[in-house]
Amino acid sequence: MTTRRFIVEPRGLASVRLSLLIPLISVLAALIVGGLFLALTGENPFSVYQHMVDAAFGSSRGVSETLISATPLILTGLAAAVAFKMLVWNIGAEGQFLLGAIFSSGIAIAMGDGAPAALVIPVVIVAGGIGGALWAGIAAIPRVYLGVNEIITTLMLNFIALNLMNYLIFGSSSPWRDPEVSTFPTGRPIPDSGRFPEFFNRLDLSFIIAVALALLAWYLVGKTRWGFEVRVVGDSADTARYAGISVPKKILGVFLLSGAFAGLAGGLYVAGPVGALDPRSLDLGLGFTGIIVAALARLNPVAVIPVAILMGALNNAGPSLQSIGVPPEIVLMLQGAILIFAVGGEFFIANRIRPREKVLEELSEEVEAA
Amino acid sequence: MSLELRNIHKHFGAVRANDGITLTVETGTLHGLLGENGAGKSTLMKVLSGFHSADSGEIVLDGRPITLASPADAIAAGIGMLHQDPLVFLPFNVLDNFLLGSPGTRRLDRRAAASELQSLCDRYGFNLDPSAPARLLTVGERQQLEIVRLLWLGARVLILDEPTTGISADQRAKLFTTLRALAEEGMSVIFVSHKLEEVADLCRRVTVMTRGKVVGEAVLPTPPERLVEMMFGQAVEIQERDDVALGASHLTLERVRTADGLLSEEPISLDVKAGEVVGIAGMEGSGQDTFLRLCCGMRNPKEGTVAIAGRDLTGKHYREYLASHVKYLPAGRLEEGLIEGLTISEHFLLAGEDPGLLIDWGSAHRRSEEQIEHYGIKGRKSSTAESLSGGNQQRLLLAMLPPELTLLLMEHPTRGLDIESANWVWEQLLARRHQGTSIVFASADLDELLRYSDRILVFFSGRIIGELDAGTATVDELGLLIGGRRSAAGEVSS
Amino acid sequence: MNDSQLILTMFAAIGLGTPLIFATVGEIITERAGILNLGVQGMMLVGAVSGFWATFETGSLTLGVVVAMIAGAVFSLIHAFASITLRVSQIVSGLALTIFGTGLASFLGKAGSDPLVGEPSRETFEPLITGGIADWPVVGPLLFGHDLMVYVALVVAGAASYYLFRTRMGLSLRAVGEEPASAESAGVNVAWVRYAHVMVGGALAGLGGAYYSLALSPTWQDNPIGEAGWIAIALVILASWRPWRAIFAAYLFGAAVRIQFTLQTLGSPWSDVPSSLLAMLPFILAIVAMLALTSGKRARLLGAPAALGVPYFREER
Ligand SMILES: Nc1ncnc2c1ncn2[C@@H]1O[C@H](COP(=O)(O)OP(=O)(O)O)[C@@H](O)[C@H]1O
Ligand SMILES: [Mg+2]
Repeated sequence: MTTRRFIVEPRGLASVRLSLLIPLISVLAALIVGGLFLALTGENPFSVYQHMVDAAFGSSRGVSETLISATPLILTGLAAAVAFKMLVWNIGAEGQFLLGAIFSSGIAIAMGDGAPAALVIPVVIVAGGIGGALWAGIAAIPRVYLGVNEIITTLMLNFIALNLMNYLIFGSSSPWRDPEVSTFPTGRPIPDSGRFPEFFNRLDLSFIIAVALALLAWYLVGKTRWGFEVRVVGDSADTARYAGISVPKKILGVFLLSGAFAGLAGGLYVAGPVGALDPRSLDLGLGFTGIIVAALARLNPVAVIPVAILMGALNNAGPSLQSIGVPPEIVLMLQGAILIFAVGGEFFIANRIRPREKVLEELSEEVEAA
Repeated sequence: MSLELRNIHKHFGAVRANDGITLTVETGTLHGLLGENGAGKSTLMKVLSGFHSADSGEIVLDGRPITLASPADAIAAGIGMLHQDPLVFLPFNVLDNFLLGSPGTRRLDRRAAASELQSLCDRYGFNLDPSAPARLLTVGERQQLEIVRLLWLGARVLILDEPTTGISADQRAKLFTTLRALAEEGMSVIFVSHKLEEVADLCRRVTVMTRGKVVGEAVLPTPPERLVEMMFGQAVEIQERDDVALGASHLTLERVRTADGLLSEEPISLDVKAGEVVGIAGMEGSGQDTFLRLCCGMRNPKEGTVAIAGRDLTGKHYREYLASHVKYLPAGRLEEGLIEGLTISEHFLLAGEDPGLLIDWGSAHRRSEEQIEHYGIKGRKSSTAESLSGGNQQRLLLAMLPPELTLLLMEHPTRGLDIESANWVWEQLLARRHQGTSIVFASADLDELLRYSDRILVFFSGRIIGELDAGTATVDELGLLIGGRRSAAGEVSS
Repeated sequence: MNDSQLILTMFAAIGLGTPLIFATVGEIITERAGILNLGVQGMMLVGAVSGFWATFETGSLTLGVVVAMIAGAVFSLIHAFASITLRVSQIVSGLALTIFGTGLASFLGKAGSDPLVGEPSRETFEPLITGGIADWPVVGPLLFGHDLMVYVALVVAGAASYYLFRTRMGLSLRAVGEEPASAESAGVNVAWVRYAHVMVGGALAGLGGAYYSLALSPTWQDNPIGEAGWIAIALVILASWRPWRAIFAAYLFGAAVRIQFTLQTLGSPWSDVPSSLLAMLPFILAIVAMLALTSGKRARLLGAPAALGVPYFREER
């Protein structure tokens, strides 16, 4: 009577091997999909991919630019990873990133040239985190205390933040705007005391800080009581509540932390490679790419680092494709496809699929053994 | 319609819920399916109604093997089921619920459906208002709606899974009359229950299941001892309760009332002593869970005071109650309160009250080792919750209760457990009384209420309508009260 | 603001609101089945590029519209498969659809030896009626001066309302979005209903996207739709999951977009209002609406489907 040839069963704990294998397969599958589209439009996928690898890793300059691209992605990836782990759907890293950038550049400009770098740099970084956390708070507080769905509010806040930045640069003569450029407005460069020194081509301290923050996040989530309780709330809010954990406070904390990571990305980007609140360098979809990073890293803060480097490499390689006549948007397609396969892959990590005969055989063997 | 199930197997993980079941139901029969909780009855019926697909086996309807890939297939084949889990109804009115899944043209002809509904209701003496929101129906009325809908959809085999849980004695009598009438008309009715009396009262044939297997069949009437023997192998010993001396007040409610909804009409006063066990009875949704939540600070009263061991905690947060050694285990907690992926140690960590920033693994490991030893849990401190067998999960849950406990509030402490596990649970709970723990528990199982309580509070539509002394009350008295009739014997609380 | 500018603004608001009606009604139908699809932006873009391409190749607007709808529906299958069959996070899967679709649309517009980018459309939607009643003062242009798709959008919204509340399939659909298990036990095929309505949503999003590339800005460019897909998701809430309300919500947003340009033409002090602040308005409005309408228990009264975003698996308990 049964028509099903396969039986799907929850696996319980995922095996380590699978959690490494499935993301790898996701990337491969995405490359194949991208390759099909490339082939359909008359390109040789292999030479295109070869070109991308060369651009991203083929020279010391390529490597350093890849790491620069990866830096904000580590942090937006962390923003998504800590939030999603607790089923807080903060998809507003984009906006929190921009607010971080606005706060950092604002404070750096306000402190001016005179202040010592040893003071300005920490202040600038922290300001970024605060900006992101505050922006996240606009969605977090209604979510926690009124039950307002955060998916839509965080999403809408992205566009508000984007327009806020545009207003500061294009729509007003705010302190963020460079007074010396009048034809096509741009951001005012922050004082040198707020900028990181570069040590490997254009690469600067911000990459090191991002990696350190990822390790810190791993420690926080994996090793502290707070992180433990957060995991419990994420697994089962009811259980946590009956165990006496304050669920609203935990959710609020995670939400703000997530916003702070995204804001730090903005802050480090300003203090690092960009050096100003510049709409053209900041509106890059780094928040959404962070979600891809988190998904492929399976929400593991340490795994976020290599995955962010991979995505950074793609972002870095994109523009160079123009020189061989391939639309750089292939990169966005690849990233989208990676996310599709990574999220689909979660099913295979969570479930075991076996032919019915095999399951039945195993069951009858167990009976004989007993 | 004659129906045959042949050699049905169905497993969930390590549990063999159905282990080679063969069963024949004849046309126009009331067929009982009897077995303790967890025997696999619901699983078998879900296979029969297309909800689960069996691992292997055959369903034969009127001599022809059929394939049921979905409930829609089952309904098309004439098999309809009323589920055991509290029927969740859509936020539609009665008529739209009735119409759901109905055959016919694309347009909804509500007028025609309403008259159809009316004539079916008339035929079976039901009284359903087509425009009433379905969520306002009593459990009994929901069943009536479900039955007429399935009949309208052309069901020839009707499955009722534990339909008498949560309905009044009156409604039960009416249900039984309807089922008999349906069988007269040639319908095959499968009546699933773990209550022997009900099956004996209603059915013509009975199949008994234990641990996923059929262990016996009989034509009724048959001596009840035979059925008991089939169900339990040998007569089981019920965990008996010993008496303990009651102590000081542990829970004192004074004229407590909520702002709206259930329990907002009549203020409630109650005093529970150390070592006392108070049972809470009533139909599902009569206010029991609101009451328990009031007692533990998860809900704040509009008026009145709540005191724990003499200390006024009115309006305080649940965590203050926890700190005063009050613990609340809501329904499903005993079965589902463990967290997949967390180890035994981590569960104890969760249960402990360690306020530090960093985790004190040392003490968590120590405590889990002690408790594993003390409760005889078969597992290691690094075993994850889901790797434990069901019985050991129960043990872990009880072991996680704090050592010092003033008041324990519970919903359905043994729902879904087989008799041995239920006994074990009560053994643990009753032992707690010797340390002065007071227990307040809600249950739908009248025997459990009468057996383990000192007294029983009966809730009806958001009020306490009676209090019974468990030592002297009978099942009938309790049933009447639950159905909403104030009995002369029980004193009505203020 | 004088009368003619008011009329112009209203006229333009109707045009700008039209694609939003398609996309919003589509998302309402999808969400009513219990599936949240954040891929609207991606599906619209895929519809925009494929519709443009089909019309460009054949010169037929009808074909362009049909191809856009099919493309949107097929593309939405990715989300349907991930959320219904694989039961993974609907939020992430929807975002993936948007990212992939955005990349795909740009890529297809630029790829090949003879790329579409910069090409004007061979055909565009023109007003149905010119002269006659369309020239009547005030009501003439507002009621009769639009192209066919404006009226089609109204019919689609009306039909969707009828479908949801007056047909058997609509009843099943709503039941599935509220309580899949109950619906299933009443004989409704939950997976089938969900697949079908995710695809309906995809088709309507595709249609909305094509309206941009074939009517509102009929020259192929990267992302001709702006943030329309995201706005549609916000409009679902403003319309409280009722298709006919989507009409008003969409027109209102159309007006909010258009007013920026109107103000520019009015001279000082109106033209000094920074456009970036005005551009924020729709999004602020959506957040305010979220706060006012969906906090706490009111969300249920409004009509948010109870099972929205929750994966359903029959054999789970
Ligand atoms: N969906 C499910 N997933 C996992 N285990 C299940 C599921 N349904 C039932 N079981 C297990 O199968 C066994 C039989 O359950 P059930 O059929 O509900 O018994 P009954 O209805 O006789 O009380 C129990 O051990 C129960 O825990
Ligand atoms: Mg059962």
